[in-house]
Amino acid sequence: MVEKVEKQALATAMERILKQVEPQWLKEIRIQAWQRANQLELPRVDKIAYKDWPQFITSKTIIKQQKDIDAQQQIEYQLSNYADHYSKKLAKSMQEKGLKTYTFKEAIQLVPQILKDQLIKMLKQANTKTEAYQIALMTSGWLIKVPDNVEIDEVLTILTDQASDQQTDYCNQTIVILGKNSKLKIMHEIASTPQSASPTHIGVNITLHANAQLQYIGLDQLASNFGYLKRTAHLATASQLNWQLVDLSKGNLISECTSHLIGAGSESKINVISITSQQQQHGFNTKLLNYGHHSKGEINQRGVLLDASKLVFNGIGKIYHGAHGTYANQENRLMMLSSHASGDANPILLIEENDVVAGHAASVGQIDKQQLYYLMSRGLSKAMAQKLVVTGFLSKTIDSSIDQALAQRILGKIEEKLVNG
Amino acid sequence: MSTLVIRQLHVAIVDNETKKQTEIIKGLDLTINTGETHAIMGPNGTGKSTLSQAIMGHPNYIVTSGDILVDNVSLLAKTVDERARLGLFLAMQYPVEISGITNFEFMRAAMNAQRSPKEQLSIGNFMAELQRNLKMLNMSEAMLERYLNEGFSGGEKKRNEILQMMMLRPKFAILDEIDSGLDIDALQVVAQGVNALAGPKFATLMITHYQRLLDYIKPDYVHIMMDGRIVKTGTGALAQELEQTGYAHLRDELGLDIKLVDED
Ligand SMILES: Nc1ncnc2c1ncn2[C@@H]1O[C@H](COP(=O)(O)OP(=O)(O)OP(=O)(O)O)[C@@H](O)[C@H]1O
Ligand SMILES: [Mg+2]
Repeated sequence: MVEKVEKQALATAMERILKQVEPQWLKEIRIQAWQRANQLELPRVDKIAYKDWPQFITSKTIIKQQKDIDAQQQIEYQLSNYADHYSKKLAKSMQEKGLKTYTFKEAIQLVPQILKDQLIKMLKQANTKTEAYQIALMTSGWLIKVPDNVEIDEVLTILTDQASDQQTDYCNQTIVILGKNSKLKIMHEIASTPQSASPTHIGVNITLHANAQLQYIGLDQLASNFGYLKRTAHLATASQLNWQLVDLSKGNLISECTSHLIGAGSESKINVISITSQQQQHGFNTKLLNYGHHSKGEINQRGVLLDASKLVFNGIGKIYHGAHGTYANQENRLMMLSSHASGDANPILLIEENDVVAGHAASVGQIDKQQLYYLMSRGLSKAMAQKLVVTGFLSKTIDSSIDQALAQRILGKIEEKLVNG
Repeated sequence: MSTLVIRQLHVAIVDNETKKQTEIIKGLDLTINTGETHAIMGPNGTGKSTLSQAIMGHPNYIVTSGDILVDNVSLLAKTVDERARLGLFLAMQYPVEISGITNFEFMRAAMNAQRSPKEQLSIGNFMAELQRNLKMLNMSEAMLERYLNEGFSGGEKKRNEILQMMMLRPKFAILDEIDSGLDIDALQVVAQGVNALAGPKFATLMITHYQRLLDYIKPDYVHIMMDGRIVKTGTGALAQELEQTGYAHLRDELGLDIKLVDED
């Protein structure tokens, strides 16, 4: 499906990357990934026909040359990655406790074995063209490692920022490894500065060892015409992962998030919030795969559609043979604020065991007129009433365990997107 | 003094599916001045709630003729929120539940909506006012952190309506069956809340089925509504009389040709 021009652009990018000074093992992984990519298909995202969108080609058109990332001014990111430029301002307490962070280039130098193992594992698991290209073409990212038995209470903030002046597509990978009984919270902001037309490919790969606990917040504010986000986690025994994904991107987007509940008693929650406006099309594949017995998974997706946008929530749950006593539940809800918008909430459940609890709920509806009337009857303008009802609807999907200040920041961003589109 | 005038009002309700209009209010006149307390009583399905919703401007209720005016200004072209900001308040028979918005957040937004951007309430003043009113209504602060009316018991919803009224201090408060679902003690508490607002700048229009509410909130006028009109107006004594004789008796006495819901 990839057009000829795209193929040509990709080949050029690959050639350039292979000319970089890099260890042989990495070049080999890249070449293998490249070969896999050429055999694999694009990811299947039900109800959204995205396969003809330009996804790989480097476009030199820049939509807007304006530095609009207020984020950097407000927050001192502990890890930031602006194009190929990295900056690190780890809190002292984090360093003292033994949190390790490496840029992609540092990881190649300092922890080649860990990086290599990860990439080989990721390549083995890659079953779509896009994933394989991401590995072949990655040029930036972070490797974050928490040693066994280390609990970090502060939030680690990460900024992944695409730069439009890059001639290549942006392929970034963040790898997170939590040792046994360890604990971490991550706030990962993904943005584009200045606004760029180049496609963005971002991967997040998480490994949780036994009893590890991670809270991952992803605040996505891409401005590229096309963004592909692939987040994957593997959970060992009794580990816990809460994903909180907030999609406020401005272009088209495919977002995939998967928790592999491998260990017995592992638990994962995936909360997704998305707002689409104008002509945007966003498709989500949100997956919970229960392998381990007594594992527990929950998907909660809520979206709001404005203008002529399109939003699809696919919620995919699979309980594998042998996963006794598991729990899998999902809720996918969409609120349409425009009659020109189109949305789909699409739960898919596949169950291979009997002694499990699994359920799903889905709804696609308009804003409740009685609720608007009630609020307006107390003097609130229609716009204000609508804002309250909509943010109320979305905020039910913000995990209550999230730090208050962060939750406020997320709500502020949500309101901004609702107002500005 | 402010005056709410309802003049020869006709209201139809539109069926959402068939779009068919049915006339419910059929030529109703009523004048309420601030400083006065009015009560409306009448059989089920007579149009009492319809009247209150039409005054507030609910989009499903269409005023087909007549007018509703506050101080000689017609409300008909005004939006619901404009009417509220002019001083109208409707405690609804069935308050709506809204998930995801806390009672606190909502009340603060409503209070500030009445005020210009420069005069927004400080959180301190707001809290002080809120706590005073909560206390009068025997409500716990925990109710503020809950989502708006979500999972509230029938009586809690009614108290919450009165709390909003006390915070917003309207000129004209329409209380649609504020007494239904309240236990005996709660009835007194709610009445206290309403009476606390009484004064020359405040008028109440209570819709009720029970004479007992009128023991606690003393009306100056009692109106009996049947088939979309006010058929008789009197004082508190009229309500007591009616309790004895019933609506059918009154209808026959007035020689009206109306079928009541509970007749066969
Ligand atoms: N949304 C609606 N759709 C259809 N019919 C309606 C609607 N609202 C009101 N009606 C009808 O209008 C008539 C008057 O209703 P209304 O609720 O005003 O009565 P009421 O006097 O308040 O009765 P009650 O004492 O039972 O509260 C009733 O026959 C009712 O069924
Ligand atoms: Mg009624």
